[in-house]
Amino acid sequence: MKKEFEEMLDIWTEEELKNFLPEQLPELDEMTRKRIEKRTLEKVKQENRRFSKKQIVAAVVCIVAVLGIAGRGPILAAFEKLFHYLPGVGVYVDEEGTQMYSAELIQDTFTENGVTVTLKNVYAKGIAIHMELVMEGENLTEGILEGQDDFDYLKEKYPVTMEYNGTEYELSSNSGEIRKENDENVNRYRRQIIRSVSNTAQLYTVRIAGFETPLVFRLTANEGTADPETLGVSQTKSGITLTASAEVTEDGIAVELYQVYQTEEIQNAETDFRRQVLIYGIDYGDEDASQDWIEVYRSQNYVENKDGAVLKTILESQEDMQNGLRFVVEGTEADFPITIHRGPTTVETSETQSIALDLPETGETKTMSEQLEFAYGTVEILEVSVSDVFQQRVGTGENTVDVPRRDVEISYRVVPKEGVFQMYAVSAEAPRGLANGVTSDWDYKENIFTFGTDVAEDQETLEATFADPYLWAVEDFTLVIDTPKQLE
Amino acid sequence: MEDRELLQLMQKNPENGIRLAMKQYTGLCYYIVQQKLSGQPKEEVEECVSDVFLAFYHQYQKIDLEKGSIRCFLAVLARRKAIDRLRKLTGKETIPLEESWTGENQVQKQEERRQLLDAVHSLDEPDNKILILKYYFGYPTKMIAAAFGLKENTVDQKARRGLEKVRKLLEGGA
Repeated sequence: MKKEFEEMLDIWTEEELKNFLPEQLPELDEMTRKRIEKRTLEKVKQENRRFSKKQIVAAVVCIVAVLGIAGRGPILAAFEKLFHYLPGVGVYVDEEGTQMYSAELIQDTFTENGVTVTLKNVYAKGIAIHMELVMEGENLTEGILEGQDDFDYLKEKYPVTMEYNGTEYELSSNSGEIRKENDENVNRYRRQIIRSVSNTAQLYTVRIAGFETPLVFRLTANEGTADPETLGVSQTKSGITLTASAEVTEDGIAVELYQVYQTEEIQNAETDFRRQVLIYGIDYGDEDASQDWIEVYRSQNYVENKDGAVLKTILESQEDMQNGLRFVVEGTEADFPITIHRGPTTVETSETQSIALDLPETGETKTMSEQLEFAYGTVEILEVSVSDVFQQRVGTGENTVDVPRRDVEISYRVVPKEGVFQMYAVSAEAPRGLANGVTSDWDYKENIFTFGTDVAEDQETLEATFADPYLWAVEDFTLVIDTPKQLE
Repeated sequence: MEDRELLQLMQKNPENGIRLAMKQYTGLCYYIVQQKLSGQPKEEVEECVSDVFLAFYHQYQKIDLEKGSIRCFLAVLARRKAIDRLRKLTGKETIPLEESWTGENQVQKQEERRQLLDAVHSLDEPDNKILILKYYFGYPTKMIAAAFGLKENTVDQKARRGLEKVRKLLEGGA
């Protein structure tokens, strides 16, 4: 009966369960709880970083102003951190004392039945193993039923297992990506997998259903270094270290670049090497402005060969790495020594400030004087306007009602402080409205950001939150790589 | 932290929100998952609990505080994720749970749910709560005993008898 009873409970909904909720919540040992928390936050961050488009507007035109007034601030305090170079993955900066592991790839690729399978980006952070499985073939979804979801089909067709500790476990992917040819056949399927284990340093064998060849790797502890300059050809300025390596491949010269911060002031920073170029054209569709910006970017970021000729970058080759970027330039070993020039990069940091704004009367606009001081810039609230009352229909069926609402729009400007790090944008949020949620926009001519929501008829204040500032790291670097493969 | 405050925080700063939610509710979800995945490695349980909170991160906007609570939402989510993982681990057919509740057998399932609810409600307090704490929430006997001020063997006895009573009620007896 116990089993049947439990199975019947399996289909209970919140409605059935609500009268039996425990009053006291059980506690879990702190180590287990922290381990789970860490894993979850990693998954959240991975998703945000790779697969979602963050609703931040990058005020690209700011760079012109920023570069114009760029001063060189005082050298920032040195800060003890460990830097781990993980081949194929990038550079990890240790902030919490977590042991990192790098992978020795014993069998990382094979081709069977016209499908090439590659294991990439394998590493472990503590007990969490991260990896990517890429499958490439002419038509990976051959046999899919009409109307069936591509991801569901691929997941079902190619389940993955991993053997370790003498046991084979089924792996589930945390996120995935597919590429289609002519909008029809899926010819690339990439899965990102994170798996927690109890004993990280050991041998792992990954198998995909339908293929005989296994993928094999071994994880070993990566001790890291306190001095990122030892990671390769490096230069440190104002607490920013840029490290580079280059190798000659059949496509050209592959360059890996890493930027890390040795300052206490910049914590949890994420350098975005490419958004500064891409976001402008993609998010705003302004081709002319985008072109201008690309020219600016190219004039600051390029690779020269020994004769001073600029080596052309193969744009499709660009790939994000942890704290870095990998790209290929046209060239051969004869082009060495090569010189890498890098201009300012954009950095996202963690800082949050909230403010309660008094709302003006209905149909009015109020000029504001509130300011929020961030470490590297100031948010100046310019105006708050409230629209006339409108009726918003909410609910469904018989429960539909009209609710009086008013639109609120807040405009603000970001004024950077002088120094090496200069804030140029920040995410702004307000409580979600009933009508349109939260909206945001940016007038790039005036460099004014606006965001809005809708509020009740009698609401007098609105709490606005500004979080995760975007900064320019206003330093330029010149690195000379005498021979290929210096990072290793 | 109150549910409403937590949901507001989730909207404003989801990462901080999820941290606080995990601080408060990881134990609850862990015991539910552990009960369902008993006999599976600890790392499977932890991975599953982590998936519960990742799903919460994506779905928290569905929570209607007029009708339910974060505690209840997470409990059901944890149970579903655990069932899903167990099916995968034991190689049984994996049907999305939402799907298994729709379709032709929906009426029958609804009836089963109602009958079970009636049967559990018909037990005296705290016997009905003990049964659910043990078999849904996976609370260890010791913890239930402490919550109700009972001896551990009394809790086990009540659970056994309660289960037997539910069986009789479902079979049409008294």
